[in-house]
Order: sequence, then structure tokens, then C-alpha cells
Amino acid sequence: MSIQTDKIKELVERRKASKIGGGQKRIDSQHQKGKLTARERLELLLDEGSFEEYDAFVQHRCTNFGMDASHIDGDGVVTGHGTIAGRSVYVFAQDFTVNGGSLSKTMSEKICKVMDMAVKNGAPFIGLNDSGGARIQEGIDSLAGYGEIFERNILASGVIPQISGIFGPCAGGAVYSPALTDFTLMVENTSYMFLTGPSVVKSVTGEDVDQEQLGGASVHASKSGVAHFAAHDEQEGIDTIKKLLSFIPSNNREDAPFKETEDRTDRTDDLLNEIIPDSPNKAYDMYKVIRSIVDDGDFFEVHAKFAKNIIVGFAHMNGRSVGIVANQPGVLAGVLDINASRKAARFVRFCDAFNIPLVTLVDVPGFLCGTQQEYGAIISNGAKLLYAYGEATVPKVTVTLRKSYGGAHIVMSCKQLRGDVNYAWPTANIAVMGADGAVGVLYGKEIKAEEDPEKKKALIAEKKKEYDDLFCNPYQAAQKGYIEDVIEPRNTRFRICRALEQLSSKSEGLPAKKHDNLPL
Amino acid sequence: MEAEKVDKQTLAAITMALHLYMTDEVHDTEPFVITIRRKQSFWDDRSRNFRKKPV
Repeated sequence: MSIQTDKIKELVERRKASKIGGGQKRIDSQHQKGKLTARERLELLLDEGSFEEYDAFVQHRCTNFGMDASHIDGDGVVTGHGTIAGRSVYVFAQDFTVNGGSLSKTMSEKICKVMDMAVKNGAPFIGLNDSGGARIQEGIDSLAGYGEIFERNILASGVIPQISGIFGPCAGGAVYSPALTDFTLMVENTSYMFLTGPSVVKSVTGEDVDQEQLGGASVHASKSGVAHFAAHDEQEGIDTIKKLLSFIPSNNREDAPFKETEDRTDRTDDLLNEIIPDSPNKAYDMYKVIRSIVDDGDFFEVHAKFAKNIIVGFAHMNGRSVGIVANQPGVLAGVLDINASRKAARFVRFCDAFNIPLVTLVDVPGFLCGTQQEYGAIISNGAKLLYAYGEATVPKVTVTLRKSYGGAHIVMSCKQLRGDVNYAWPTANIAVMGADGAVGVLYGKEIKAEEDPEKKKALIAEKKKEYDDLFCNPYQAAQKGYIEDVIEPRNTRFRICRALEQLSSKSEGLPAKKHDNLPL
Repeated sequence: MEAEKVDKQTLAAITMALHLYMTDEVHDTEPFVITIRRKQSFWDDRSRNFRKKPV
């Protein structure tokens, strides 16, 4: 056997060894916990045969605490390039079988390398996290590693889409990388995210809480909003990431992939002509409206379990990817509160950064009132959504279905926030407030002065009708040019599709500035 | 006409016609044709919409 053949044999052996990570025993342990290994996850995520691994032979350089006696090729993370549906992506997957996936300086260098490659090549970056946290033996080097990653997350923000999958523990400082990325997905029962674990919480605050209650997928998907998606298992998690990618472009200079559809733009839906209840206090399901107007009824919701009073997500209309933002009258009457404002603002900014037109469906009675909201800074949080819409330069098509009152009317992509095409259904009420509240303010003295209950009732009814006739319709706004047109509900799909085509060549800028100062 | 001799589809059509008549249903007119042709242009070049650095 020649020297060259021997060297090739060595390469094959080394590569084989690097793929085993922490060894079969630890792989079995990972499986017993219901978790896949880093390589198995990448196999599910990427197109078959597309993965090119980088830095498989990288080893850590730590000599503290006997670490120099143990080296595993790859050092606990699998990194590289692959494709999803033929589109380039750069990935890392932490390997829990190697030192619990803990982050060393070399691991961070591997991750940073693929992040840099993703930015240079304008490709999405996907990180699959499964790590016990910083590698304590490395001390400050490990923290420096996190810092390097975070800085790259920040610089890449708005340039390429960044997606985090949490497939195991993600604790301490490590949580900030997913928090800086555009979308975070968690897997129920096997993943958790928190800054400090249950034992520290117990010792500091005395609070008894387990990992799932403190930072499990359901908690972050429904209460904190840290997770945009919660998957039942890893397969579903991977499928969700793939589906998400199908709606978004690879970078901020491209358009999202076009999706051919058989769904005609001239499809009308008579259901929409009857969906608004006669009583303004009755709810209806906004999901029915969304599914009725988008291509093939296919709506991919983001943050489905968080702040359900507003709905955000992606769909296609006439083949184009769009971001849908819609008030949900079925939850809290569709009112805007702190969480709804935060949720929608973040989504609007993502769409704007990545050239995805915004379709806004409005039925909003106002902002949620009360001390809880005021103390929680509903003013600043509501301003985030206002800011996001006002700043967005992507095509913005807005349809007001029913209520659009007061400050919430302005926030929800009104004309003056550079809304491009604003429509209203004939059932729309665009006003400072509803008739009940307005009559109380305008005729409070007269109503109070009327002592006869019957006459008081009649007076209120008369004044409400007067107000309704004047303001609770879309024609005041239409007369002043604040909406482009009043449209028949059944034609909504066609009108939005045509507006989006019209706006497909939109070009609008922002004043020169270092950066904005949005109300964080 | 005896009800049992009329098939269900006919009944449905009569009911629908009556419903339309009774509710006086009308629809707004729409052409339902999109005549805009998609084109490539530098006009909406994404990078031109990026914020300019202050001079």
C-alpha cells in the first residue's frame, strides 16, 4: 500500500471518528430522551446529499481542569452548508453528546465561520441549539465566544434571515443568540430556555418551579412570546423551519420565492358578504377571512399561541409571499394590548426588512385600558407597532372590515403611515370611537339631565343613530381620500391581489440616518 | 305540484332563486382581470431602498 493510500485511509478513519461525536453510549442516551443527534437533525433538515461539513477536525485548545487529555474532533458542533428545496443555507447543530454541547471558544469560531459565510453569500442561517451552556473550564474564552456570535447575529440582522431551533437545553447567556435571531422554534417537553435554572430561582426567590414551567416550549410560545413556534416533536420542528423558509427570501436584496398556484385571483367568496354579525359586539373568526383570501387557503401562522388577539403569519397571494397582520375579534374583541403590539411590530419589521408586502386586515376597537396595561408601558409598546408600520417601505395594503377606532386606527397601517392602498368594507366604522362612548362624551350633560328613564333611553338611541349615521361608516374616510375605495367583501381577494401587482414596482426610501431610535 | 315528485336539486334551485329574490342580492362590479404585466426593472432595486448614510 502506498503512502498516499495510507493517508487517504487515515482521512476516512478520522472522518468516521468525527461523526460519532461523544460516542455510541451518549448517542443512545440522547435517543432515550426522545432526542435526535445533531447529524440526524441536519439529515432531516437539508436536501439529501447536500450537506458539506466544515471544520469536522477542529479541536478545543483548553488545558484547564484536565481538558487537554480529552479531544473530540468537531468539538461539539456540526457546521456547514446545505440546501433546503434547492436553496442555499448555512447551518450549525450543537452536539449534546460532546461535553453536553457546551460552548468552547473553538465551537464559537466554527459557528462564526458559517455565519460569516451566510452573510457573504446572502443565504439564510439556521442554528439548531442543544447545549448545556458555556464550557466552564474555558472561563472567559467561552464568554468571548458567545459575544462573537451575538455580534454576528446583530450585524446579520435584516441582511439574511436567521432562524433558531431549540432542540434541547439553552440556558444562561446562550439564550441571547436565539433572542437576536428572527424566528425561534422550540420542541415541547425536550427543550427549554431560561437565563437562570430552577435551582437558582429557588435559592434566590424561593419560587418552586420546574424546567418546563420556567422555560418550556409551551411557556415561551404562549406567555413570553420568546418562541415563535412550538413543535410537538423534532420532526415537526424541522418541517416547520422548512415551511417557514418557503415564504421568505434568502437575503434582503431578493424577493421571496414565487409559488405557482391554480387558485384564481378572480375567485370570489360569498361567505365574506355575510361574515360580519349585525351586532357590533359580536365576534367572528378572522381566520375564515384570511383563509378565504389567500392562495389555496394556505396560511402559515407565526406566534399562533401568543397574543391571540392579533394574528400574524405568511401566505401567498397570486403566488407572491405576503405578511398578514389581522386583528382577531374572537379574542379580547381584537383589542391591541402590549403583547399584541410587540408581536405585530416584530413581524412587520421582519417583513419590511425582507421585502415581503404587508396585508393588514383591521377590526380593532382600540387599545386595552387599565393600570396593568399602562404600568406595563402600553404607550411605548403600542408605539412600536405604530413605528414599524410608519417606517415600513414594502407595499402595504390595508382592508378595514369593521371597527377601526381612535389611536388603534392610526396604528393599524392607516393611510397617513404611508399605507399604499387602503380599502374598507361597507361594514367599516372608521371613527375616533364607537357610538356608545362618543354619545356619552358629546351628550353626557343632556343625558344626565333627563330624569325620565324612557326619554333618557330614547335620547341616547337618537344621539347614537345620529353619530352612527355621521361617523360609523367608511364613507367619511372615503370622502376625504383616507381610503382608496369601499369594496364588496366577496371581492377582497381580487382587490388585494391587484393592488399587490400594482405595487410590485414600489420604491420608497427613508431619510438618511445612522439608525432609527424606535421606542424599544 | 306534489313535493315528493320534485327532486332535491330542483328544490335547492328554487330555494336559492327565492332567497336571491327575497334578499334582493346585488353585487358590486369588478373586472376580475389583472392587466399588469410583471417586469424586471432597476426602479425597485432592493439595495437602492436601503438607508443612505448621512453625509
